[in-house]
Amino acid sequence: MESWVVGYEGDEDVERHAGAGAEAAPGRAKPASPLRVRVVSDYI
Amino acid sequence: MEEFALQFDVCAFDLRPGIPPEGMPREQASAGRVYPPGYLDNLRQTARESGIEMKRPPLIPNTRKAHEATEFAKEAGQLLPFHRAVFRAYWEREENIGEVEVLRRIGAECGLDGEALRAALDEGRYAGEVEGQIAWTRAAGISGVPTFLFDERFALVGAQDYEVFRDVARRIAEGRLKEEG
Repeated sequence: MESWVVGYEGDEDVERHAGAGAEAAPGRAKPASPLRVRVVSDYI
Repeated sequence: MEEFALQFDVCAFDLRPGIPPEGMPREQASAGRVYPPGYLDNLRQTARESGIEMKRPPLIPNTRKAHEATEFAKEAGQLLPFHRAVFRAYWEREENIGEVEVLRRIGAECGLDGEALRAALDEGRYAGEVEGQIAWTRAAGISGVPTFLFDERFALVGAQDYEVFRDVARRIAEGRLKEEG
């Protein structure tokens, strides 16, 4: 399943994208299930 | 370090029903509306703090095709980049995101197959999906955007500070946020 990791380290934003079949980063525990966030919006 | 694993999705909302396919001048669309003094200044300052130079585009586009293009990007695994790029095209560069050619170019810049995107929009491949999403928002009583739905159970409305999102995400992850009703 495709997922995004969004957060920050110190003052630096981090963002990682894992496509289908991607492995978790070495040394990091893979979350059991990502938090599902659905944004209802319009572009205007 | 703080971080959350997110499965990000979007749902189309029709903020301005009745905008024709070619769009509508903002002055015409906003006629009769009264806005609090300085509200745009606050909005722009908040945007600036997030690295966005927000303008006030003179044309309000019909966003139906932009939502359809978003579905195309979603299927291609480029939802978040495309979603951001469309916002930037409209609010920073004042582009008419109701035009298929504009969407094709934005899509290509995000690594999508621009011609395949154009074909999908021309044939209305995602029109039904988008219509269904908009109908769902109406049935669910969603009236303010953006509305952020967490695990389809909890909702945050409006452009909240990151701290608010972090607090909600943490509490959901820890099972401390209970459903009401």
